[in-house]
Amino acid sequence: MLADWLRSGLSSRRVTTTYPYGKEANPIHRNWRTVPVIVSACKSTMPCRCGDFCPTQAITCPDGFAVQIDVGSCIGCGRCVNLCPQVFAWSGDVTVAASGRRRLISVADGGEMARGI
Amino acid sequence: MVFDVSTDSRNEVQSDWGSMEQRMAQRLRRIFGHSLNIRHIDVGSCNACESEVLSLSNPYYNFHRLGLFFTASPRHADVLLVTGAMTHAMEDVLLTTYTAMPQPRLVVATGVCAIHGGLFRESPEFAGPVDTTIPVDAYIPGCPPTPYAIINGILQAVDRRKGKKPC
Amino acid sequence: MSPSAESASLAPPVQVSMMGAMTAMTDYILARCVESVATDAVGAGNHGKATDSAAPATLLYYDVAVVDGADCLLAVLESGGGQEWLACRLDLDNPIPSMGKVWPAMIWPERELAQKSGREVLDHPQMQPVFQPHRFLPQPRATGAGVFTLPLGPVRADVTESALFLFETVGEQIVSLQPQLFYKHRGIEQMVRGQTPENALLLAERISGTSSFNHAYAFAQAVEQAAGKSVPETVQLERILFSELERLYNHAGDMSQIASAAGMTVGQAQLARIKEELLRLNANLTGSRYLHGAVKLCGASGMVWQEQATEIHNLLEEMNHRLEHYVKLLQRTPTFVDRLVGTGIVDPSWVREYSLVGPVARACGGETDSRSGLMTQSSARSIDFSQLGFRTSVSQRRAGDAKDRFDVRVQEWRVSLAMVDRLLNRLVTEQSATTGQSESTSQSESSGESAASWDVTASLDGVWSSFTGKSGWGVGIAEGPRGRIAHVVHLNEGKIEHYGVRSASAWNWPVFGLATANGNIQTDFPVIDASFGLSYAGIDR
Repeated sequence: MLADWLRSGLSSRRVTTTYPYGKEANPIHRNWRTVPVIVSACKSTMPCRCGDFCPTQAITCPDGFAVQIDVGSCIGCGRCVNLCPQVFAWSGDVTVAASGRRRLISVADGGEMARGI
Repeated sequence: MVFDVSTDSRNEVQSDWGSMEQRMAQRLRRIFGHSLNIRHIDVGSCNACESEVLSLSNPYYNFHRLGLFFTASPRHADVLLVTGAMTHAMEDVLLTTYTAMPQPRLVVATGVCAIHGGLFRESPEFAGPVDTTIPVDAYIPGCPPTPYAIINGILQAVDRRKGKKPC
Repeated sequence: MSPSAESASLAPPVQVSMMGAMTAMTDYILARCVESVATDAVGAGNHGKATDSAAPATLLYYDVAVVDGADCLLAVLESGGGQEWLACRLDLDNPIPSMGKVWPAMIWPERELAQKSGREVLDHPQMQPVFQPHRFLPQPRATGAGVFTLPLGPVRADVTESALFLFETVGEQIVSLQPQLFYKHRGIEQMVRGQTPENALLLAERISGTSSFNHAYAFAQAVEQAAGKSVPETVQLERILFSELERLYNHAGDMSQIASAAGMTVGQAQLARIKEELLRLNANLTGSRYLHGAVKLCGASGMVWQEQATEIHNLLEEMNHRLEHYVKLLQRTPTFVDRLVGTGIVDPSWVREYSLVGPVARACGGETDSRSGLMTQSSARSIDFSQLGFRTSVSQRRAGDAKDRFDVRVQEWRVSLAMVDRLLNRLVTEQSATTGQSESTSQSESSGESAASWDVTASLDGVWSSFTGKSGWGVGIAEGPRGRIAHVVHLNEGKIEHYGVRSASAWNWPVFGLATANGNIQTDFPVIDASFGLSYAGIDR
């Protein structure tokens, strides 16, 4: 009985990740939704409409053109990435945590991107 | 009254925000470098975040190799991992659990519900983000955050993220 | 969307019959759901009614709702003949008679609706408040020397959801257990009112995260019935496939928790490993580990199954090999089996008395599964599950203890795996049969290069919701990992006016306390908690 358990347990191969150390530093499959990031500034000539379809109002346009996303309120529904792929993309990153609430807010305007205001 | 939180405990919480305590806490975080006892509390989640926190102990993530352990009592805990959109019923429970933890103590708000409320922000049962009741040291976004992100967040709270300076 | 054939039957619009008197409604519900079922079981009997009105029915939903502008009590019944919708106006001189004294399954729902509506429920056997649980503790019930009362919770050991359990023990023997839930009541049903179905879907997914897909599936069926829309057969098959994938990871996780509660750490680790692999499979397919966004209202999920099928087959086969090995090892380990046999016995009579659902019911021999039988009324359920390889997994021992609940989950795993294989083959065949058309459609709709690109059916300037102007009532049923889930939706001009959820855990929770007080000791509690595997968020909403 015990021998069966020992044999089974020991014959299993290692599946444990080495994260956060070692080569597997960013282990996410390309399809996994992580958090959206702003990849380029919104160049729309119309006032920004992304805020309308974000269900938690994580995306706002404080002055009409600089898109701001607060990943602290993003539930990962993917509407922004699907509707505006030129502005939003999945970060593909696991290092999304932050020590300060405001560091979860990213803003992009005319070519400048800042992580955390 | 089952959960009697005296005004003394509330003052104790307030003092965590003092600047001298903060500097001391920064230094004390170095002490956590060897092992960490985590107490998890669910203040109103949908149980996806619980499932992810539970996944930390599966062979793929095996958080024990990093020196992280779950503990049953807040009195033995270093870190309070909070999941869920805080409901009115759980507000005092959260405060009691936090004040039962000995100092130095850290709080990690896991998931968008704990950070901001997410979809439940407008609900009459929602009592506010976790940081309106207790001070939070790390925020992990995601709905639910993957176990990798949770490990990242806990290590972030103790400034052990590889190669990154403390925030 | 998917160009395959439209499904044959479309649900007819729901007619809500208004009953004149409250007693007429409760008598009718009792006759259909309790007495006729009892008559069936005991044979030719006391009631002697041979008409359809005596045919056994299942009560899906019972709560207060606004029907035709007035506060009413709404009940939705389902039977072989179809759905029945009953409502009765609530007025001050027409108090609600309690069904709880005759049918214990109604004790908890009546407490909820009494507090929600502010109306009195006459002759309720055990009325007590349900919401705002931090203001009161349950009343201890046991009296006598040596009774020890222990309120355990809401913060309990290990990673669990919050609820309070009032234990009353004499020494080690548990004499009474009262669970106090609703600490996590987030008010989802109220929040959804006034929203479009697309936004409400996001909330429906988060009622209970581990049955996220099945809640969304039931919601989609309800909204589609309310709007009078039907979905093609391939979409129905896809949804069933995802539903079975969700069942697989939940059962692996529950089995892992049972092994953990019994102290079998290798079993726990290996079964948790399988759960993790299934969650990763979910994420590889849909982008989300919990299948968020896999349901599209009135549309296909956008998956191209041909690309994924072989990978899924191979992965599941390898996983199954390991699971069967470890389950066999566990079932041959006397210490494990001994912890489970005779623990947390659910009496078979409770299946009918409390209207139990899911593996908990099937472990005592209850043949209830919402996937068995063929429902023709709702378009989403015009699929015959037995042709997909489904058969109800009822325990052979019929002892109703934790061992049976474990065994039923193993049986269901095997059935789900067979169904997934069959469904994949069917979907691949159907999608490749319409390859030319579906390729061009998916290219024009997808906005990304990955196979699982989630198309959102709206443009920035166009209509945001595809349900504008639609009105009607609808109910959606899904067999979640823990049992039958029912969502009731009233759509009014494209916005949701009433939303009600009766999840599987809501039916099973009343029995948890009874099963624990049924000759168990204090240390059996974790085993019982793990073997029931109930969702706290599902009942708290």
